[in-house]
Amino acid sequence: MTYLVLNIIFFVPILAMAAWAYRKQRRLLPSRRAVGITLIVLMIATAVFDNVLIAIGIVDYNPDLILGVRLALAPIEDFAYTVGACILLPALWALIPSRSSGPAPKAGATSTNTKS
Amino acid sequence: MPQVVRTVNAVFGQSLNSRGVPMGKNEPYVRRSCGCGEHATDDRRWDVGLIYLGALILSLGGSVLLDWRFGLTFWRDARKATWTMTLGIIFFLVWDLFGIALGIFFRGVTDLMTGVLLAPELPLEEVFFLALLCYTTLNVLGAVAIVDRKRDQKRDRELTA
Repeated sequence: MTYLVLNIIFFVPILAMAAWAYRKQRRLLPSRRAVGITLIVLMIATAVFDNVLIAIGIVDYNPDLILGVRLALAPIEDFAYTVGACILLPALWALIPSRSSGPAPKAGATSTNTKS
Repeated sequence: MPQVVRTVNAVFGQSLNSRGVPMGKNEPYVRRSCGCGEHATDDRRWDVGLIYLGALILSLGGSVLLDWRFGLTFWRDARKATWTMTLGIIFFLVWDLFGIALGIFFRGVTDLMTGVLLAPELPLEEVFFLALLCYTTLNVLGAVAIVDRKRDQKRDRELTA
């Protein structure tokens, strides 16, 4: 199994969680803009540290199982973790009940303007 | 210097060689590749082996400071944060383990890691790395949420003023 296929498989539960959060706790999800900004920041960070890690020999890849497309040294498949985190983590955040899980929030309340 | 290292190692335990195996009793705690031909060159020095882990812990510490200062993640909702981080790290660890089992990626040969393995080819540092990935993602999301909220509050104030 290639790295690409492995990542596609692991994206299934990630997208499932996102869909579940969208159905059940849509108001607690961040805006698309927020996720977009986070994604850009994290992608830049990933591009930097992944290359550093590979350059100093912390991790290595089987060349037969990766696409071979690299951003400098970083295989493009590595970015799946970053994209996955930006989708999975806000979904988990929205689905996990707050410390004071009382009655459903009033209309207009979001996770940003209600104290928890 | 070797005397200091031996004392430290006596306190903190044995060093590991590059195969993650504790160095034997008769091996010196520190071997330097000084080129004299009498020393082994592949055994780990405890201080260099902490560089990667140290960098990760430093980054995590800085993230904790930012989280605390601006109320981004754990200081925004401790329960959500704890569960999100825990489940997220476990998920990525499972992903990693499959990648390792399928032979897709593996540890490189380097002195910069402790050599402590949680599973075949899965270094201790990986847990800290995944924690940093998840924590940074949540912190940036939290920061954007705060900026948006401040903007909304400012706009509300201006509208009602």
